Order: sequence, then structure tokens, then C-alpha cells
Amino acid sequence: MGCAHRARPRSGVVRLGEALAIPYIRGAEAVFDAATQAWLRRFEYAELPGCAVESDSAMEGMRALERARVRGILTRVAAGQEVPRPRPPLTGVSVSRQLDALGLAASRDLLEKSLADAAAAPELVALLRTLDGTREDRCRS
Amino acid sequence: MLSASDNEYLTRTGPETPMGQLFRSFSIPVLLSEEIPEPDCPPVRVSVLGQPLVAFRDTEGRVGVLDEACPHRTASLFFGRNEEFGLRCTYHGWKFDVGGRCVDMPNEPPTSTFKHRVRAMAYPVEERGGVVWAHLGARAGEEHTAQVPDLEWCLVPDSHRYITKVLVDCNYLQAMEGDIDSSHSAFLHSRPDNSIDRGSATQFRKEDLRRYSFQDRAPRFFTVQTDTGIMVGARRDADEQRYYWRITQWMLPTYSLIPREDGHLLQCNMRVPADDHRHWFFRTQYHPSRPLTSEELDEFRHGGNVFQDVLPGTYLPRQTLANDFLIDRDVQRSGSYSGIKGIPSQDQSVTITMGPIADRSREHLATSDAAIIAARRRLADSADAVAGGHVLPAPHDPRSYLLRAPALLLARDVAFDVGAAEAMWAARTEHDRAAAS
Repeated sequence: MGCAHRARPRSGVVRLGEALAIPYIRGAEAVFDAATQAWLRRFEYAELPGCAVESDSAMEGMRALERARVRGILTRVAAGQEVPRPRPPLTGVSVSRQLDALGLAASRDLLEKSLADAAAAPELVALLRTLDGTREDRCRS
Repeated sequence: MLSASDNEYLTRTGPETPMGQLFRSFSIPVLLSEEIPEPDCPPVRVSVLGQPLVAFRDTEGRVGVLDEACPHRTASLFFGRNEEFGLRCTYHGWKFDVGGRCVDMPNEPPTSTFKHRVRAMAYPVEERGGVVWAHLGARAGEEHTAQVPDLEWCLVPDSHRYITKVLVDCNYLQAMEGDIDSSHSAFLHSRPDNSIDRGSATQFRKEDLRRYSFQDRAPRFFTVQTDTGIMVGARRDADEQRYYWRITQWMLPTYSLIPREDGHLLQCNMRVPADDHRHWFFRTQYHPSRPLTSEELDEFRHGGNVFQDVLPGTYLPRQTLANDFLIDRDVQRSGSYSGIKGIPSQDQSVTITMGPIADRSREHLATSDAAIIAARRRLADSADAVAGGHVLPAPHDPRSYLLRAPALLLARDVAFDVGAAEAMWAARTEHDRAAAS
């Protein structure tokens, strides 16, 4: 099986910044791609269904996975879907700095918005559009 | 791989560097209490984060950690006289208390107030667990909230713990990365026949489940961020219903709890930069509920397999790069995978040989390095945050460090952090119970 996790989902994420600070278990494994006859590095957040990437490079793969995680969460928020919350959001990380590191700019105002308000925010749509522009970090479903 | 600039960012810890600021936002180990064993004993000098420091214990047993340079003419206070509540510079007799206050300036007129305007740089210190911790981001007497972490070994009675340190000739980061690299032990610390290296594992450590590590040398790795750091799960097949998990706890800034099965001695590694090319490796073995036996202590004190043999009167390992870590090629052929005696020396034979600062632009990381990549990113993110004025919660939340790193069997359909929760938090449960009784 994949990334063994049966952590009990919890509700209670109020703000977008909290949703982006939820820690998920990241799995890593080497996989053989029969199509290209090459070994790849596969990374996934199985608790965020469909969120997985494959890459030649472990560094690039993990970076792409982070973008895929952000994209997966924003997509859910935009669609009004629940964001899986297997464990509480982290308080010891700066979400805005993490987004910066991924080349994504998000205002403090957006991160402070409720999920419902964020869903309707043009800034979130713009973020998703930025993420849509990169093929390699799409969540595979 | 890392770019040269990213590598610089992570490995430089001087006062003006982002990583240096990160370290200086914590209380960190700077020396062992045993180095200044009694009031008015000789001072010791120690380099931490590239800062030359001097430590002394005053007449009342209080510990002072000061910049080594006397604020008068910058002579070394290491050669000072530790007497009557202060450390006196031998150059002109200026004397400083543990808070850095100049309490005597005998070459100035007795009525001069100049001494009140001069202060040695002294840092807030606290002794816990046989270690002197210092907060190098504040001045002694200033208000600060960086606390000594409630690492379990700090909370057990002295009789339950053995701790020492050695000076290692490489940057802290490459050694710390080894602490969270769960896959290397099945090679470096093993035997050619895939069994546990009996020359490496202590005779007191015969973990039943560890055999799975040697049956499956390519585990799957899982990491999850915590408020304190990263939890690293290495998963191997045990049987049809269960996985064997080894869960390493890596905690900011550079502390690692090494996985152990229930009932065994527990271990914590701490890597504290001495400067950018050397680090202090603090290691402790402890038992949460019983004193260490005389046999255990005897092995630890005499440089057995978990602790290194050191040159007498120093914290310098006897096995070094200069003597090829005393590798025995016959033993390597027939006895142990490395041919080198002792786990720390085995580790140093691979980390020191990377160079004083590993050139990470030349590396090729694999999936088994996921924890290393994650820890680098977490360190960089944390340093970014501190540099940007963000207050990290970890230095101010000592209780978040009170946990264990279990090695255990879990049902295949259970998340490792959920299945192992009871074992991980047993430290907190037991400590609370003891405190209440």
C-alpha cells in the first residue's frame, strides 16, 4: 500500500494560512518507469489525495511536491471542498516564506482570510493560474 | 545538490549569518558541567558558533560564559584568575562576575566609576542534564525567552544518564545529516554478512527488531513536519500484517533522537558548531526509569562502541583522519563493514572525509535522502524566518522537545505518527506522572 496513514481527519481549519500549514506525511520511493525504462524518484502526500510527483531529481521532486501540495489545497479551497486535516496546522513555520521559496507570492491579507472568503478572492485565482502554468508539479489523480 | 550560495547559507554560523542568528535564537549546549566541576576551579575556553568563549564557575557555584577577550585590551580571560566571585584578567587585574559586570579595576583610582561603564560580554546560562546551556543571542541579565528544551535526558536523574562530547573536524551540517539518515546504519554500522555489527553495537543493545533493518536495506522513507522539526519514519516490511518502523526525531536546531526499541537505553545526538569547520558532538545515552549499570558506564567511559576513546584530559577523539580512524583492513574483510571500531568513528570516517564543509554541488541525492532534503529546507526556512524578525515557537516551547524516537512494529494500515504516538509521548506521560507523585 502507499503511504500508510489512517490519521483521523479533523475539521476546524479556519483560515487559508492554517490550511497551508497542515503537515502531511511525505512518502518517498524509487520507482521504475516502464515507458522510459528509467528509475525515478516518487514523492507523495497520500493524505492529500492525488498529490504525487515523479522526478529525476530528489531535490526537484520535493520542490515540485510542495508546489503540488499548495496547488491541491488551493484547488480544494477554490472549489469549496474540505481540506484534509490529519493533524493540526503547524505554528512554527512561516507560510508566506514557504510560498516565497516556491516562487509564489501571497499577501498576508489572503492568508488571513477564511476559507470561504479566500475561495472568492481574485488573488487565489491568480495563484492557481500561476501554478497551472507549471506542468511538472500538477497533482496526479 | 545545493548551489554554492545555498550551501554557504546553511553552513556558516558566525554572528552575522542567517544560520548563526538561528542558532542564537535558541539556548544551546556550550560545554559539559564536568569541565568546570567546582567553585573557583580553573576556567575553560570553548569556541561555539565561531565565538571564542571562556566559562568559569564562581565561588558560589554559579556559571559564567563570557567572550574570551577581556573588554580592556582584548587579552584572553582564559589565563585569568578565578577567585572570589569573579574572573580576573591577569594583564591588569580587571575582574568580572558571571554577569559580565566589572567588579574590580585595581589599576584605576579606587573612587573611579569607570568600572561601572565597562562590561564583559556575558551570556544567559543554565545548567541542565550535565550540560551548560547558553543563549548566545542575548546578554546576561537581559530579558529573553529562549529556554533550555525539555529533552528527556535533561529531566532524568544524573544516575540515569551518561553524556559527553567530542570535537569533530567538519561542519556541523554534514554530521547532523548523518544523524537523520536512517539508511546508512545498515551499511556503515553493519557486518558484511548483513547482521548487526557486533563490533559497533554495544553489548547492552540487542534490539530484537533491528534484524529487519539488515533484511531490508532499502526502506521507504516518510517525513512529516512538526512544530519542533521533522519526524522521519523509515519503513521496512516485517510480516504480512505489520511494518517495522524506525522513527527519528529531528529537532531544531540540530538535535536528533535516534530510534530505539522500548526498554533500551535511549540516545540523543546534538551538533553544535565550534566554528564553520568543526563542531562539538554532544551525545547522551540514558534510561528513563533506572540508573545506568556500572557495566554500561564502564563501557561508555572507556570509549566503547557508542562513545569514542579520547586523548587523556581532552575531548579530542583518538581515531582521526590523520590516522585513518585506525581502520583495520582485515577486520573490514571479515568482521565489520567499515573495519573501523566504534559507531562515532565510523560516522566520522565518512563525514570528515567530505571536507571541512561538504561541497553539496557535487552530490546526487536519492529518495533515501528525503529527510536530509527536508531538514535542509526547514533549517533554511527557519533561518529566513528569524532573519525576517519572525519569532520561532520552538526555542520558547521546551515541552515540545519532550518525546522519544521509537523503533517498533505497527499495523500496515496505521499512520506511523498515529501508531507510534503512545510510544513517542511516553516521555511526557511518565514525566507528568512522576512530577505529580
